[in-house]
Amino acid sequence: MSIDRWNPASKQNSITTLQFILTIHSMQLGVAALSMPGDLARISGTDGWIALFFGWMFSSAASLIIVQIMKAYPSGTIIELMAHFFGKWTGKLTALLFGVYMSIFAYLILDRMALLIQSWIMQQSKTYILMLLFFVPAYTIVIGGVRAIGRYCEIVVLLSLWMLGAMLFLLKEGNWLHLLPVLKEGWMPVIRTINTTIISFLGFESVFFLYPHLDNKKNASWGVLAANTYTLLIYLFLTLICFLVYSPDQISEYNEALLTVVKIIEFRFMERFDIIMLACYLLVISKTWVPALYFGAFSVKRLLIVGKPKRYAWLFLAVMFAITYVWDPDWNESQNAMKWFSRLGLAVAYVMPVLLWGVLSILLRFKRWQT
Amino acid sequence: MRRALSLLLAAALLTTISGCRDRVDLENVTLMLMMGLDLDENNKLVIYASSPVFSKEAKEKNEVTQVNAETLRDSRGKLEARVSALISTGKLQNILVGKKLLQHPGWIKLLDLFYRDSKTRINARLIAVDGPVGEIMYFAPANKRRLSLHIAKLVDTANERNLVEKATLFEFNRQLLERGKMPIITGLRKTKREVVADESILLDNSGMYVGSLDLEENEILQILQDDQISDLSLTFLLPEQGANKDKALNLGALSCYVVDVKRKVRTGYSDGRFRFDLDFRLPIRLTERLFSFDVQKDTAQLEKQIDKQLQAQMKAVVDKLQKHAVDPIGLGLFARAYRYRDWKKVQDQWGEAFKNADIRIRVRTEIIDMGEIR
Repeated sequence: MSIDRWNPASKQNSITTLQFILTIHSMQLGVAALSMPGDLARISGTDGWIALFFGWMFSSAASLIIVQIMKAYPSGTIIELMAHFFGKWTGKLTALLFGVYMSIFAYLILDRMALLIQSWIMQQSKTYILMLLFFVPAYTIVIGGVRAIGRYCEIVVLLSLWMLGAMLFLLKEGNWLHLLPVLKEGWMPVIRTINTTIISFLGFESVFFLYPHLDNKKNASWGVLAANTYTLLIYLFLTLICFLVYSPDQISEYNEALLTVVKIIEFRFMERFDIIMLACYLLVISKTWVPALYFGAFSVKRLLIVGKPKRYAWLFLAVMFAITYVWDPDWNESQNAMKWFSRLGLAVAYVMPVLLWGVLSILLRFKRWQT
Repeated sequence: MRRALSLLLAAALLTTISGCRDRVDLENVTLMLMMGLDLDENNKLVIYASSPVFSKEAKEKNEVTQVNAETLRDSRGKLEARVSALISTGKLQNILVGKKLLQHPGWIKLLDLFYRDSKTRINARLIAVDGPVGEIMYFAPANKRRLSLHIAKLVDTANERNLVEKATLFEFNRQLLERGKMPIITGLRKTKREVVADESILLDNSGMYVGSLDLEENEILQILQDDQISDLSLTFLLPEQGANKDKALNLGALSCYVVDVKRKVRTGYSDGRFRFDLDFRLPIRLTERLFSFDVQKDTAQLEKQIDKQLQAQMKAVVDKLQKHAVDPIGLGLFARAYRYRDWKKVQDQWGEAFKNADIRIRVRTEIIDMGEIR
């Protein structure tokens, strides 16, 4: 009998605190970073970076609340927790909700990744074929469960650190006058940008699934804080670099401001450094959708109970391929779908935890529930 | 059985690789290194393409073609019908734009392709040409390497010595869309024997030709911009030392390296006009002095004489820029950063506001080294 890699209660599937932090961070940092500097500038000009702090505040608060919720039933994911407190059918409903949410999450990002490759490197290749190239590694990671995902995120984060260093080359092109005056139009434009920044921190809801795997649960609270802070620092760094290099009215002209700016890095021995960066950045993007794919498949398996993890992993990948083959979303559709999805994300990651926490803390006052 | 099945599957996946249709063999690529845009006698757009030839059989190392086209992308097909293989702009070095085109409203829209198409190199140099672009494109001097690479090197090194400005496509776009600064690009011209890069072309914020700066003026501009790249060498004729332009030998001359530029800008606004106080402190190193002078004893006196000359030269450049109502110095950035409310009123007509601005310059040089001999 082989080990069940997908069982959250099993000691063999536990992850270290570092893996916990980096997995949460991994799900946050992905395709959004490429367009974020431009998105922020389009709303609040070069003051957009200030809004990142607000996004960080909200996401940290929401992640801490999620940790509080998960403490009520430490050995299971959100699905087991709901089933435990509210009955089997609520558990099924939760499994359905997260199954749908995480699958859409995974699909939209995988599709966006394929579109990026298509638009930047291989204009004439089909999206579904570009997608297919990532299926085998994704499959092996997904069937490995949370431990494999934790290790994957750990190694990718370490291997992609050099990219931040490469971005430093751009500082000599920058002009700090672009940032002045701070708050040029007051706080209002910054406040209007908060919505965008909150969405870019989505991904911390993975705590719902990761918490039972964490080997030392005392570290959960500062772990989620560390993950959010690390994401904030990277976002700040990338956004500021873009704001310094682009002139204030220029940045809003570009769709993927971060990728375009990398184009100006050149070495004597190498031009078109952006292609190398993009290829390596694909690893960073893959660590957002691979965990989401796992959480989606995990939820659906909990919903249907029957079948082996392998089957679910294959089935999910096959369905994603089929959807792209039939629908083949273009950039606009992808953009719109993401916008629509971010509303769902706000509900699942920000509104739901607050409500659930309220209900749970009232329930837990009655001794009967404290089993 | 299982093993055979997974092997079969792996083999099946291999076939998908042929689905990537973007594969291009190097033999089938014509690397366009230099592109030329100009208007012909009938005011129609002409596109020139210059690309290297790697065949041993070819007598010339460069392949140059020209076509009439509506847009740059429109020209690609027509060019491909003429050059040896498929055109790629991924290695583009220079884009030469004729002065005639620079004076045509809306010409910058043509560049859209370079920014939209992710395959183009965004670091290609944008160069203005005084005279017909075709003359340079077809020019093949015997004592130089491929002209496209020669021009690239020429512009880079001249820029390194602060003699001309250099703008890549990205840099040009940045300056163009910066309301507080006007673009300035390299100017190139052809003499009978060679190509000369000794001008910097001033453009306004719609990309239209406004005027030009010569070598000396550009060196001064680099100081004004606080953007000197490496050794900035200046030569002064000091009237106090008996310099006189009419003499065959000018023994009142002095040359120096500007080691560093320390610029302080103070921004003010009163009576509807901006005021900029530009304070410069320049540590200099003497490299040439044709008159006798006790530098150790009378340093201050010599510094003062240099200051006077330099200040006059800087004033002249600023006056010229103000006359043309273009601000390549980027004082608009200071206006925006420190006087935002006043800037908001003029941000769309910065050229005019710059023209009316009160710009005061103070220069203090400091001789830090007189060289090997006294």
